[in-house]
Amino acid sequence: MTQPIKTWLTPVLAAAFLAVGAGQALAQVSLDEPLDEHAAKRLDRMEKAMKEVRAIVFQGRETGAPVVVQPAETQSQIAGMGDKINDVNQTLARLNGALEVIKHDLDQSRQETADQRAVNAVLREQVASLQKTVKDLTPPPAPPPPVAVAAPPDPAAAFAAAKTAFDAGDKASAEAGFRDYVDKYGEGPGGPEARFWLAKTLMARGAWPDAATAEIGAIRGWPRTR
Amino acid sequence: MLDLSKSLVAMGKDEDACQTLDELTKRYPKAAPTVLKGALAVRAKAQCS
Repeated sequence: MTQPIKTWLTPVLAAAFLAVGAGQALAQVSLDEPLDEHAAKRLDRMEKAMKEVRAIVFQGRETGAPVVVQPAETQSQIAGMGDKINDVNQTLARLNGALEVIKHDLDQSRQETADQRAVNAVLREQVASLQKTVKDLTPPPAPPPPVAVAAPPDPAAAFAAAKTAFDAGDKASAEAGFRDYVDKYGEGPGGPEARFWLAKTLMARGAWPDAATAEIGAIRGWPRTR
Repeated sequence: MLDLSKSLVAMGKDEDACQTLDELTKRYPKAAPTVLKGALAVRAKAQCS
């Protein structure tokens, strides 16, 4: 076993000695001597890296924030993201504004609808009230066309015919008969009584003003009864 | 006159109806009981004083 170890250990040791010797030789190179081109570039890169490390360390010491080593383009990416976030925020603000306008319009429309409904309810009540009023004002049905009572030439017969119709409940014929009698013989002795019965027929169908007129005529001439 | 007062009440002329009834009872205090009873009814309807 000892022999193989010596076999591979010897070249390793030799290489180590050579390396130490080379290091000592390099350490002994004077700084005043000019560097070759390759070494100069390498030194520049190292100095640049050192400056960056110093800047990072100093920045961390001044701000107290943890030092984060990140690729150089991260700042621009963050800036880009910030711009996008700002754009999104502005868009959201615009949308919020539009929503506010829509909400306001909707509230206004709802209020207008409620007002309109209230007005409609009032109008419905007014229409119902007016319909009832109109219905109440509707005049009583017109009397059936009177059956012409042939006025006899004799006033007494004419009066008797109209009175017979009245007693029979034929108010329309009675009204026509008494009116005809009043027109023809109203100034005679039977005029007031004819007006009295004419007023009765008029009252029967609710013709109050005409009835009152006939009654006044009857009262005025009442002493002159037949 | 009783009928006239009825017509006047129907026309809404209560005051005239009351005056007519006053004249009726004044002129014919001894009118038939049916007439006087009818006058009272009309008087009540016309709210005569």
